[in-house]
Amino acid sequence: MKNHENASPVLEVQGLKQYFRVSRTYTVKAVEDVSFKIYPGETYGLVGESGSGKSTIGRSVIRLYEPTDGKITFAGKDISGKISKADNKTLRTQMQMIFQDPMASLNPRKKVEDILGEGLDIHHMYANRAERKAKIQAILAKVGLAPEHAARYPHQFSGGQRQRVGIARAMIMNPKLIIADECISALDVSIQAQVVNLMKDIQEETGSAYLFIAHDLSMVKYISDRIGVLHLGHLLETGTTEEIFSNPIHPYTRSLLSAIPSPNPIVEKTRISENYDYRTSGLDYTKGTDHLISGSHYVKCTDEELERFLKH
Amino acid sequence: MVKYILKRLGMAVVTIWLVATLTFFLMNMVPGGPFLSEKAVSPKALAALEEKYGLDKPLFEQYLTYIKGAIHGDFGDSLKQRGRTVMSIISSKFPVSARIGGLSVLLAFSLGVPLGCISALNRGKIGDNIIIVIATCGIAVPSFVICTLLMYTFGVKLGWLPTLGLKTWKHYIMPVAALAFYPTAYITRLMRSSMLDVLGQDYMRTARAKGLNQFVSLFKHALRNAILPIVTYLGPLIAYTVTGSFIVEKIFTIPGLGGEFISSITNRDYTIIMGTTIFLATLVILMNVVVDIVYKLVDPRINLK
Amino acid sequence: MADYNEKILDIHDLDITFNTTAGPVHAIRGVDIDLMKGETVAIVGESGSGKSVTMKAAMGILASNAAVNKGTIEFTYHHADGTQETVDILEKDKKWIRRHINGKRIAMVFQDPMTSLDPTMTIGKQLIEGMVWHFKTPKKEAWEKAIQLLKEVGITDAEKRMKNYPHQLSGGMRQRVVIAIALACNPDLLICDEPTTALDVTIQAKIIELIKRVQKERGISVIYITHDLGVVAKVADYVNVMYAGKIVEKGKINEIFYDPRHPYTWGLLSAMPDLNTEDERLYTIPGSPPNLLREKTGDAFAPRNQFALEIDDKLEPPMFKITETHEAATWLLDPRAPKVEMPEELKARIERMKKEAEGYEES
Repeated sequence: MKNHENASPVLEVQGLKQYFRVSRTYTVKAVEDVSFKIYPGETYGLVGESGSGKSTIGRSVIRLYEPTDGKITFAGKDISGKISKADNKTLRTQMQMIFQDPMASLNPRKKVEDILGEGLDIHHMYANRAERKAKIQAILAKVGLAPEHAARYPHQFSGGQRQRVGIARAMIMNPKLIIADECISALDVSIQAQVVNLMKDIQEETGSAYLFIAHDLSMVKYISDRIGVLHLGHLLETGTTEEIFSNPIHPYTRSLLSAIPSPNPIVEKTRISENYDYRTSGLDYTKGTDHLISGSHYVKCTDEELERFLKH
Repeated sequence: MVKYILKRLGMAVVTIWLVATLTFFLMNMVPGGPFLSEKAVSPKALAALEEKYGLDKPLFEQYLTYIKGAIHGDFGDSLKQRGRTVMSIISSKFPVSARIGGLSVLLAFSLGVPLGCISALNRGKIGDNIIIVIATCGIAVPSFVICTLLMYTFGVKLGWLPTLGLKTWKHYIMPVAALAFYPTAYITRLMRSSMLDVLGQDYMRTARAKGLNQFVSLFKHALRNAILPIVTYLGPLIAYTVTGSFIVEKIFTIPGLGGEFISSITNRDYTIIMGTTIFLATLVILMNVVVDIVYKLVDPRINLK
Repeated sequence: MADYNEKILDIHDLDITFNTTAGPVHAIRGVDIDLMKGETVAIVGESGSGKSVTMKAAMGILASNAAVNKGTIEFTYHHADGTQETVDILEKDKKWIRRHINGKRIAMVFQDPMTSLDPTMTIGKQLIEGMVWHFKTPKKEAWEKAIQLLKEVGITDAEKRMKNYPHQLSGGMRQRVVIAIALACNPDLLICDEPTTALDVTIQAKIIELIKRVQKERGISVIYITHDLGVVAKVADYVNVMYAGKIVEKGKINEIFYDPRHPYTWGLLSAMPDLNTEDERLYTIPGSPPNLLREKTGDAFAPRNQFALEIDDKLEPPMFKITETHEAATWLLDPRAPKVEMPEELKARIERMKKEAEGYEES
């Protein structure tokens, strides 16, 4: 566990609400009153199924949406409303994103060196050509690509290598925070592991914080220090990775965990995964409040619901 | 659905009003007038003419009078064709253009769709290449060249078809063919690319895995999905084609609306220009509403709200 | 474990090349798979390993630029009167396969339920299509059967759903519909191509459980194509591990999971996230899958294999028999090879799994 008693968070999301008005009578409540903090050098895993609002949160943080309500603070500055040009510029360098589909998020007509150099160019982050080149070579080495890869185009890479380019593109700006939105789910299992390990190594070296958005808990375990479980826009359960995995309280978290198949055929053949359906569960997310379980482990529910959960 | 149509029609009225207003003022901003181009007219006679048609009044008053009339379906009298109202001219010329235009749209659709399909199914083979070359020509060659070529070959050299007027069904063949050439080529190309797109879709693989024969899966699954872009194109196409083509009508001496529109512009026949413009705009807008409704029928994912 | 001792599918020495603009791609290099009635076989591999191509060949729906160089795919089925027939699918033309095999005797469930249903046709129409086509079932009867099918795959409000369009259903529901479509003509063999990768985790488990139940009730054989060993553990009787167009290890499920022999299988098993350990790092197989455009002499896995021997670069390893049912293609099994054990971490993990499994009855 990383100790962050004295540090102030890189990112603080407080009571974020993100509604989308579809028509006069219908509003999609994508995110409902979500709060979490990310400290320097740590990884926060945001887990939820499609439609849970996890990607929306990522987009709200990088200011693609204007929050309906709530406050987003980045490095001590409120970034949820209008911000100055200078602040915007710092944000664009200090907050970076890695996307799900590496092929679609890299310009196919640009060489890798220009994809990587683009951010540097825009923000004038080098004194001369030689420095630009040196920075690009250094980042390529860091993500495990060879110097000659700089002159290639995205289509000449395999999926895993492309995602390395995506990581390099984000890392080269030396950001304080990286938002990784499902950045491994399009990759093969063995490659997923490579990318997760790479991201951990880089974090150790640079101290960047990650907001790691994923749809299942299995890989999140290996990269996250703390985890937030999101369902239907509500942050249901938060805590350290250890707390969530060893003592899941909310039935939704438990169903997510039980859905992960283990490579143990004799056990797996007889195991039936836990059912969870919000509509029939009798729970009401909107009435829930945060209940402390232990340490930093919180569950969002009502008092009666918590009693029910703990009986299991 | 009904609510949607009413809403669209309401919007259509606003659009048409905007078109009318814009045309009205633009036309009056251009120097010159309807009675200037002819042989010298005495100032007195000119004043009398202008008074007769209300052209001496302030512009805004003219505009109000015009709009008032237009609401009641009265677009005024032609300034050049003495004694004829704009409505009577449109209603006598439009059916001619509509018949030729309608036939050519029908031809273009019924030729273009199968050609596009054949081309897509034989992608990269000779049949595909031939169709693509012809379709590209059809898009590139201007219609007056095609008219002249048709006329020369079938009218003059072979003598199979009459070249002037619209007396018998034979008279229709060449103008309809000439008018259909471009849209056929366009639909063919559109259909080809959209068909290729659909053939690569997963649900086509599902159809194959079900064991349906090629013909069935093509008709039931591919065609319906592939035809969506054609439907979109068909709306404006119909509107433009049925209002007549100046070139085709001039070359084959057909008394249609297209010819009328162009000559009204050269003649500065304000009322006719206004009338035909509003008519054309109305048609385009209506066709678009129709297309949206047809779209809804073909594609259940479209939600008309 | 069902054991009818009747072979339903026998793929032998299959070898396929794709002619691409970049040159020939030798995608399948001598694959042998067989499947008994009522059993479940899993084909495991990364993208590009050839697992989907093999199954497309069995369905007769290979892309037009594919050339079968050699091999047979023998499929055995019963006629309505009970007589048995075995055909080599590779020798039949597409028309015959469509008429007699596809949908009728071998059905397929695809990866992405979002795109594998026709968006402009109601669920009901897509369901009855196969029945009407193959068996000339009257529409009304087919409609009734379709409602039953929807109920069987766990869709509530089946009557209402028949008139829905795909976009009105959620991803999990759509995959249920896809399964219902596959079952419509009562096939003998169901091929599931990554049936859950596009779905949310909680729904994944439900779909797998559904396929298992249906298989048991109907006694059909199932082939799973997947890269997810967790799914394999849950469903399969036999496992084939594929790498670069070849099967590198095959065996009964317990042999593969508790006694893996091929270094690639070791890698795959080690790379699976393990919720029961405190490990900080995930094991990874170094490098990336090979580019089949450039054929390599020797073992295709050698460049990524930390246990590779010198001979691996020169000669492709044959299949070494370990037990009657368990084989692996690695020189490590040659009697002359130095003794190499699987990595310690994996060994510990397998021990742990075995211990955990002790309390369970083997089904």
